[in-house]
Amino acid sequence: MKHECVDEQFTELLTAARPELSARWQDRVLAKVAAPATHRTRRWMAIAVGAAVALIGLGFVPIPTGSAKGAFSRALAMTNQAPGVHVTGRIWGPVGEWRFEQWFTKDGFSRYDLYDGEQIVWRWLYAPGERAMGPRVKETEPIRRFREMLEEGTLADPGAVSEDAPLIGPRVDMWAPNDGEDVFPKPVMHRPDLGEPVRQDFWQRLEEQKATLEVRVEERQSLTLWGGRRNVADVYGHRRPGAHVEVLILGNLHGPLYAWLGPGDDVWIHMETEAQTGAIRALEQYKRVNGRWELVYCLDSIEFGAEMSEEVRNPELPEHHVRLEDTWWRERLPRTLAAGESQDWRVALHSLEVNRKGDVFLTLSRTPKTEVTWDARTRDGRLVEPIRSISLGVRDELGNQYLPSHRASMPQGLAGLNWMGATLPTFWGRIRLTRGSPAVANRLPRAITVRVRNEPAKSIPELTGVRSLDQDDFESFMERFRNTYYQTITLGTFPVSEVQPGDDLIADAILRTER
Amino acid sequence: MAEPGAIQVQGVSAEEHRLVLGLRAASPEAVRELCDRFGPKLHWFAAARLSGDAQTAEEVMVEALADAARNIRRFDPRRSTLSAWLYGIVRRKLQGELRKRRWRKSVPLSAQVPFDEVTNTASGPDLAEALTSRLEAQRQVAVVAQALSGLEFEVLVLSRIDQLSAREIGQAVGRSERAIHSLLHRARQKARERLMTDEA
Repeated sequence: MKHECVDEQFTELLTAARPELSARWQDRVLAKVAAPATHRTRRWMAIAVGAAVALIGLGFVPIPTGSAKGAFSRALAMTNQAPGVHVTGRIWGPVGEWRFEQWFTKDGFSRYDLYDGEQIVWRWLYAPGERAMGPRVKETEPIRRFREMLEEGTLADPGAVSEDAPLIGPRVDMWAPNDGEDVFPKPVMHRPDLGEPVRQDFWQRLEEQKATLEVRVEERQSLTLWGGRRNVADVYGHRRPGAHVEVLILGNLHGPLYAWLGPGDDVWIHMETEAQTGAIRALEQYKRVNGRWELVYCLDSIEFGAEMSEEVRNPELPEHHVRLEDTWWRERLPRTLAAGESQDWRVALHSLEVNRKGDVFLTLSRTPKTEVTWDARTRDGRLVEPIRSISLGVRDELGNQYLPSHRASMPQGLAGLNWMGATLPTFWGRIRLTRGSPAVANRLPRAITVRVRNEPAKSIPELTGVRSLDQDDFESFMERFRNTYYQTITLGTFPVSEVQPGDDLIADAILRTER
Repeated sequence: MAEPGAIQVQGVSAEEHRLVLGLRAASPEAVRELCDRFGPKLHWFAAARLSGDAQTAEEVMVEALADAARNIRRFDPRRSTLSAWLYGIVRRKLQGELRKRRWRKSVPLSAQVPFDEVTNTASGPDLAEALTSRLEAQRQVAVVAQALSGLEFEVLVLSRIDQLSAREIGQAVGRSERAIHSLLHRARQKARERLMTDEA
């Protein structure tokens, strides 16, 4: 098509799409011309000057008055020393805006309420002094949603590992007992291996972040006519590809924010603190999206030394809400049915149960033998999420394979075996497995063989010596990879002596304490 | 002989010169003539830029003509033709409108046609066909608009609906004549590729 043809075709389109003008539109022009002229420019200038004066007067426009070296560190120290903190704020994510309210105390109490509009959708409550293996109280509305999450698993992040990531096998949903749901660090940790709850600082130290974040801190003092003198700290972090994720709680009190920041993401935390005390007075966190800083988290209020009333510590259940307690871990982790180890890992099987339908429920733990780092490259050489994968090979005495219940219809090929950002030395996992083959339906298994397939502790390039995944090298790389990558531990064959009466033992372990 | 106070500029027609003088004298006839001569094409340009949103395009055009009539003393025939100056005003107003539009979410305007507008020109069995062909044309214009930058699209539209010269288009969009040639070339290339893909 030549230019003349394009012109012709485009003109035809424009003509066909040309709209009609309404009647008497000329009269509207005449009326506007005849209307008394307003001195727009002067008026707008007056408005602009007035607005600027008002903004400065109200304290919205700060005037820089000097440097404030160490403001960020002082703010972190002050927060860590506070006997209690009460904050309210908002978070923004792909599904919109959520409100939250949080309380922390030095004795280890922590509560987190999440609202969708006016409705509370989640509440986590950690009480000190209990050897809890999960949140003491977890409430949700509606209860169906929680059951769905149990069945579907909450850690699946299909986008984190590309299709090319050479990981195949059924996925185990690991639910760390520190919070009953995921393996991310929270301000207050309950570690069964340590007995009593261990309080972690509200804030990760910058030094701990440096392995994974490139951090730049800018500090200055500013003055607003209304708000007085304040210190401002702007923290810019760039998450290195392949790095762990936990660092991304940097600068906020809210755990789940980490999930929104992937490798290579940029984060900017804007913090205002009192010049005298170092107390944080404002906090906003931004993520760079398409070259623009997008607000993802902000505190609306922060109160240090807040009194934690009885109502805060033992809240009444909202109407239609259900009180849940996850007792699964407490009852199973103290037992060990079998244990084994490979080059890099120790794995233990804590429970093996079968429900009345023949589904198998396993509780496992896995501990690395050495300090390790993970990364992986996809076929085109891109870095993907740090991976701590585990696959299960579970068969009964007839050779039937057992797969995760919600994916039992899928044969194999479940990429996405990754665990993101685990900081605990040990993972605990529990999973429901359903017989993959329907050929022998209605027959309960009599013995179950469990094998655990682990990734090595080393990164793929370290392990294989292949650092560049060119197309030509890919097949040979894959061959070496298949042969060396996995470390399989056979835990043994276990007779099924007892069949549990329920359908979903994991959900029942939580729901049965419903009050 | 030129009237007192008139600026004689080479290339400005006597007719346009007379119109400008009439507008300076705040003559309603001059305003009406301004509307008749330029209104429909300004509206056409605005509608194309606004993906077929005829009503907003009309508002923009009415505002632009009223502004032009009120501020005719700002028109400098040495810097641009009256036509290019008017397109420049419409363009600035369109930019404001497009900025506002980014925050709105609704059915794409290219997929909307005011019903009364179609019923004015067609009825009965022709109505559906008129509606369909209009929607299809709007869709294709929108497809081209998506493939081009805003400036490229404006330059291409201006070159087609009013046969403005590159120099005049440059005056309207604040670019050199050479830049307009380059923009037009690029716009045609992209439009061609897009239209061919769309046809395929």
